[in-house]
Amino acid sequence: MTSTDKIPVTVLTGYLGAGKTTLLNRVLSGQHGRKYAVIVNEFGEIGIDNELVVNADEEVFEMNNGCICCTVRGDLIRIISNLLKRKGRFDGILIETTGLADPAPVAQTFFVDDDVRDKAKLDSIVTVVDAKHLAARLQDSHEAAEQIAFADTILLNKVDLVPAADLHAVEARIRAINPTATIHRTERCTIPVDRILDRRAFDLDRILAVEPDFLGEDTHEHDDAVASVAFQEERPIDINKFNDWMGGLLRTRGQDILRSKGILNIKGSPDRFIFQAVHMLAEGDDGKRWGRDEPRVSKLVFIGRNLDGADLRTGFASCVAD
Amino acid sequence: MLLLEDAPRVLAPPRRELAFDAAVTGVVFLADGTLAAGLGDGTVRLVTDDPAPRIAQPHRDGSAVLALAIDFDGAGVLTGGDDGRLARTAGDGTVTPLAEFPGRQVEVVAVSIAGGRSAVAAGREVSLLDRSGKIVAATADHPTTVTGLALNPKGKRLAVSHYGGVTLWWTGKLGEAPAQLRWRGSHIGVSWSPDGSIVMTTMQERELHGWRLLDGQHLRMAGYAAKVRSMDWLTRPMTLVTSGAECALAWKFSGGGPMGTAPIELGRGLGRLITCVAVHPKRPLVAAGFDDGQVALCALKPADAIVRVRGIDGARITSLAWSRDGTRLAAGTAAGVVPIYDLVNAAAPGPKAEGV
Repeated sequence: MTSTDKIPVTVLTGYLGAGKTTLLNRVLSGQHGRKYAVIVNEFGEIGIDNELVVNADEEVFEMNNGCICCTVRGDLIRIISNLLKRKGRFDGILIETTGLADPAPVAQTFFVDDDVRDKAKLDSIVTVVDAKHLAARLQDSHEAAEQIAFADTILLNKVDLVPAADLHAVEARIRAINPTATIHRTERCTIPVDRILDRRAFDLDRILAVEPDFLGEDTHEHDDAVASVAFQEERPIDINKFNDWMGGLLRTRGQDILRSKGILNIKGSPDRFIFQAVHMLAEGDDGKRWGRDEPRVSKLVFIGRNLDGADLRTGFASCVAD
Repeated sequence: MLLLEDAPRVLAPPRRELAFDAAVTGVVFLADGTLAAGLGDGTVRLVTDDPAPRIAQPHRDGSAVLALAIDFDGAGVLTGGDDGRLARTAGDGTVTPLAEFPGRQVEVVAVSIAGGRSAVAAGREVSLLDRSGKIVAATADHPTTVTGLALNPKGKRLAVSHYGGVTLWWTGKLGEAPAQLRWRGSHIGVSWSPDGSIVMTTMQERELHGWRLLDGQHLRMAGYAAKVRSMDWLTRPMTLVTSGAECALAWKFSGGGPMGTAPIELGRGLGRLITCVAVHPKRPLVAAGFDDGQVALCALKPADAIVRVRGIDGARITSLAWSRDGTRLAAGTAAGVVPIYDLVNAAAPGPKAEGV
């Protein structure tokens, strides 16, 4: 099965009351003309009896494989495998997580389990954020920052309840944690479904737009804060050097590095190389061909805790091809 | 060895091959020889010598049959579906709904013909049904979602697999005084040995785990290329046959095995991954299905005798079943194809099973 045949899976995170249920109901209503299976959590508020809705128990399992941060959602492995036995294709699968959930085990499930990886691909992680209460949530919980850190797309919801000046501050706060996510401002989660589902190809390109050396302003406030750091390199990268460096880095620092993503200009390849990782689990794939007149620039972004920008910069620079 | 000389040739054309427009998720022969096939469209197709199979719809249109097991009387099947229903479909196509678990996928069903009990799981809950199909007991006292159910040969004990191991219940006292078999990791299926002495699980971590009930001795068989999705037992000498590698691995439980002994490798050299195995009801013969659509018959002795009965068509073999008398073999594929083979010779008295 080629990667284009795989069913795209979208993970929906966000605090209770942020607006996830409104969004799920819209996806299920089907007025967008696509068919999505929706996996809801045990505390969810979806009341519809619909054959496309499956209840999940959010069972996070530690894999007994010696990888300390390798947790997966055992229930998802079963549910997704079963959904794929149905006749007729889904356009996608949407997974709702509870408000306090750590997104990592969901994402890692798509790296670790062969059956799931063969047939489904993690398309993107969408986080719904309540514009009014985000600052307080970031103050009182770890998970709020992690959900933003993991997101590919962020719905900044309830913007009608917040003055414009405050919105800029909230967005700056989000950007400090996650410079690569696409942010949509919404009221009652009103957004065309195709702006958040089946997005991978579009959203990964955002990495190229990230300003290099962007350092989250929280970095110096306290070590526990989630921040990000981004690098740019104009010289071609040696893929073997990169794999060696990144492999070692994620093995030793993968618990603190929540996500890493890159678009790389590999020496000798006409195509972009797309790299992304969740904690210690990484995948790489050929992306779009570089345009004839396009500057071939590599970009690499890390989001995590206790990031040592100077060390990461030196490491990335050591991957430049001879 | 047949294989090397004849590798490209398929030796036994099917007696019949049916094609449906949904994936086959399970096949089983009823006592009268009718083949029941569960599909990814919520139907059960009943295949006799009539030209057109009968269609029963025990599950909602748009749902899938996830579990299929022959009922006590051999005259029908129990099915679980992703519509949350458990139902019985008789050989004549009559459907009897038995239970409903809204919002759940019912993928685990077990039947004990000897014990006159069947069991079904939905989430953490396990329900026991009597011969009439009525739920007589239920318990949700399991730490996580139930992934497998197996009744012991007498039908008196029920093994329930879940994360962290297996819970053992007495069917007469479901919900009271369970015994726990513990092993860290995600157990995704369970099977009871034909002599009742051993409980085996398959694991997410691509290995088998087992417990000898007499003394609690652990058994651990690792090294699989994929999760073991299918396991079946030969009674004498007691041998566990498993999928999950490029050959079917058969572990002998005699002579101090299987720990510390190498498994017998069946069907090597044909394909990449075996997805399904079924042991012949009378002879030491294993049907093995591959992820590319191949089906082979492999003798346990000599272990390198292979007959390939189905070639590559690219669709995974999801299920295999022998008829009760061992004269027919049916397979089901992810593309909805059901070949049925006549294997008259396979049922004839062959070399004694002992001494394999």
